[in-house]
Amino acid sequence: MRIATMADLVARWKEERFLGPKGPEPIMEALSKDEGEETPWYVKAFVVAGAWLASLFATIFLGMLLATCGIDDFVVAWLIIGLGAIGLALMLRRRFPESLFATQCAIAVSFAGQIAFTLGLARHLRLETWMFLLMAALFTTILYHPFDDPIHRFVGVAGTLLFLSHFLHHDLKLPYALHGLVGVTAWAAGWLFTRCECLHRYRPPAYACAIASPALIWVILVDRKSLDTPVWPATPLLALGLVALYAWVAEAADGDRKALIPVVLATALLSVVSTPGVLVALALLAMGHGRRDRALLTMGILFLPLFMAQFYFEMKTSLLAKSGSLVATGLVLLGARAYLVAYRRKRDGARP
Amino acid sequence: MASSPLERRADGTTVDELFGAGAIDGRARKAALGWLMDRQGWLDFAERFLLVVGALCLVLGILFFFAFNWASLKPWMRFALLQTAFLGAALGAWHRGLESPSGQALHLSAAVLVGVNLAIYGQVYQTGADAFELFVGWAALLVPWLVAAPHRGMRALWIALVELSFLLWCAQVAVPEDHLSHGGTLIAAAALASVFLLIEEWRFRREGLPWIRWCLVAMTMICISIPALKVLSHAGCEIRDPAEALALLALLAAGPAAHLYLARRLERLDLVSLTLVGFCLQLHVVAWMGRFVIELREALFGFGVMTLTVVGTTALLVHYLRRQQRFRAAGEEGRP
Repeated sequence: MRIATMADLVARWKEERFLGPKGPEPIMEALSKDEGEETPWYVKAFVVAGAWLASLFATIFLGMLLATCGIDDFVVAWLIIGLGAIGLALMLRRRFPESLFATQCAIAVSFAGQIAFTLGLARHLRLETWMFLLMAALFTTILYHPFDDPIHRFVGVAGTLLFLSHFLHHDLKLPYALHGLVGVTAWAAGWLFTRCECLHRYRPPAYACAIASPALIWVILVDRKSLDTPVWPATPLLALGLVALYAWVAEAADGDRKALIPVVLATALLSVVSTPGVLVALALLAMGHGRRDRALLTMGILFLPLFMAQFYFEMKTSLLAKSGSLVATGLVLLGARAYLVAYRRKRDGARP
Repeated sequence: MASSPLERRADGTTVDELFGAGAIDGRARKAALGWLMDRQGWLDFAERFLLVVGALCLVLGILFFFAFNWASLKPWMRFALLQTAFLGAALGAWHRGLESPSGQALHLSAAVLVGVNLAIYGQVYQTGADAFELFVGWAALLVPWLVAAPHRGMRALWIALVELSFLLWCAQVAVPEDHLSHGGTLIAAAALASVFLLIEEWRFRREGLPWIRWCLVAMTMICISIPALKVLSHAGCEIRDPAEALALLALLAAGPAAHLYLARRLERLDLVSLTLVGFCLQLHVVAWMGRFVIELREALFGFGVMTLTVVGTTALLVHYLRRQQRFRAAGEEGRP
């Protein structure tokens, strides 16, 4: 039976005796809790924009108020503003957990507070990247559990990764470390989405890693002359990651492991002729389809044409050669589809 | 929106949430994640993926081939190529029928190719025509097509062509010859969009996803807001030139459209349009307050007032939109 809705899933759980003595009641209860009054996304977007704008004005107002109150020491003022704003944000989040507007205000005020505190400290010590990296990592870790909002957690982890990549490249002058970071973020996202049993707690970092990996590849591809690094070192890590993903699919879908051989060979070929970005985009599509996760699928759908376009744009050949290679790729893919259709027809025909 | 929680789409995120809430155990979670990835689903996905990416590569490859050889092609070859494509699309639309989505897509492709043909004509024979004349000619040629098959794609293309023709005419003729100011151009474009909005409301209000309406409302609001914000940012709000007078006219044209939405709200309330209009109103209120604060020259007080204004207007508007949403939900439940 194909599972389309939660009703299908509950029926299957019931059929396979996975439900406890209370039956589907706890599931219904948990699902109804989320349901509530569903606000459309565009109204949410409007609330988010309003909350962030209001928080910006409020932060400037607070800063000016402190400045006019006669606190001469700049560092102390910023540290007080920072800590005060973080405290206010935590209080807002705890006091109004259901209010979208209050939550967004709390997120904006929290980040404003983190920036104010870090700037104050950095001015007192030294304005260096490691300082920002350390503070971003520290705030993300400390506030991860008390501030239980997915956007706050996602932005915290993504910001830390951003500072880390900047630190690796500009401060330590280790451009090859960026490739390592691409591999680590890709593998972390893969592990969290496919193997981690606590994904409900670590979904925001998983998404942050999933978007950081292709974003870093894009930076390397676009800026590789000034970075002075080739593109290929991330490829083996990503190709291996993709093979691990196939194994996960075969294991979960109870598929034929022999069918993996041509897919693995195709991946090896792809990693030789293509860009690592295409491999990451394929991994995002596979994970998105496997988990029926629209966010991952959307990322894959956006990154695949982007990396393919970049690959063809950068080819140092004539338009005619590009045209030939595109036609050849199209024919190979359509040929593979024709083979797949024939295989399915044959298999379905052979089935009684 | 799913009416019952069980009608919600099954996905890995929901399964993980249920596991996190303690509604299912680890075994049930693992089994469910496996069932979500059924073999049939993977094969369907692979088939779709190979078809879409393969076809895209093939079409792009063919386009690159013509782009490479375009300069060396003789004019008759260029026309032959385009007109073959045009004829193919038109015949395909006729064969599939204008009621089917594929027929409508082919009809729309043929309509686009009419414009490409005109552009190539201008390129080959160097007619010296202004860009707006191309779009006016294109829109005029498409009138019979629009009357014959007014499907959404065709209407959207035609409206876009008329708006573009008007804006290009303003940029190339009306503004340089001082018939209109930049603000006046935008206001007139908004008035034109409002007229299309009224026609859409009158003729096609019962169509499924009203994305043409959303685009027209957004365009009207953007075009009205730019000159209105300009007026707000200067000292004094008096009507000083024809552009401002036209702004009033455009607002008057948008008024009946808004009235139509509200009058039909029991039947089908359009929350997207209301949100767009509300956002625009908020923008004006905040801009007006900003100007007031700047004139006061009290920065500290100003930022405090601005914070309260944004919080107040957002809360008020969201309260109103949620009320409308509940009103709609109640209306839908009451309907047989």
